[in-house]
Amino acid sequence: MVYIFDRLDQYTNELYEKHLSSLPIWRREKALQYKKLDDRKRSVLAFVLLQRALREEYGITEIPEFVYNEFGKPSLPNLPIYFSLSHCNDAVACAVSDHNIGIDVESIVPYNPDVARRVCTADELKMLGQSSNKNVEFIKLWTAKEAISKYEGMGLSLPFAEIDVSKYAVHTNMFKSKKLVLSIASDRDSKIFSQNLLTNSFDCDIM
Amino acid sequence: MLNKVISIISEYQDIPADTIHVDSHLVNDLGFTSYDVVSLVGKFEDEFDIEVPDRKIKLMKTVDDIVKFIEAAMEE
Repeated sequence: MVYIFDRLDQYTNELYEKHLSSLPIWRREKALQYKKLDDRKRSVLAFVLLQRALREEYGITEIPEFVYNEFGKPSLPNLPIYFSLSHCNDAVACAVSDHNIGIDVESIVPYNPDVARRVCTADELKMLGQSSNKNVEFIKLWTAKEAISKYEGMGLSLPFAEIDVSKYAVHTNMFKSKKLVLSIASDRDSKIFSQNLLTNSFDCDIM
Repeated sequence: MLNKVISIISEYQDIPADTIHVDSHLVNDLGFTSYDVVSLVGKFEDEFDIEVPDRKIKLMKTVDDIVKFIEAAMEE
């Protein structure tokens, strides 16, 4: 299941303070480590989404401390539950699953050919070169690669140019706001995701 | 070198330069996403006329990491 919140402009300072004060100390400290208020808000929201997802999907109300692998992938120790968090300028997203999962959400930004050359395969660059909508097509590729990287638990340690998206079960969706692209990678068939995850995603009401 | 690196980061992320320090972490302190990191690397390549191999990007976690990498690359 994917939980996504894309109304950051409506996330007031008052609500942020309320959520911040409800977090475990270790997570509050992580949020407050950010220099910018917007980043602090996204960090808090990511945890709030995870809390909600675990409560609604698994009935878990007490979240144990995360364990991070050497590449920074978080997991819940001693629980057969996988999760993945992502944020961008316009949204925060959280995926929870019984199976390994990686998620990435990105705002659609102007196409940057220098970045594309660094992270795309020759075939992908060829496809982009022929595309009439490079902004969206590139972000689709990027989010798919980052979701796969998170699924593998590697972060940027897995060079994106070496990720062949076609070898993974990846579901990519342009979110309804048309400002965002969200991708999910897992070891389950992507068709299942479209039925069980994305079509059931919603604007998370956290009020 | 340090001041120039901080200036580029400050401009990219719209963070006051005087709040960015040598041990600031790009992701955990300055709010960079993976996309931001890759995009930022391109700016350093242009500014300092260096090449950053893809497999080295993962090593650039702090401002200090970036400065040391650029200094080494410019000496080669």
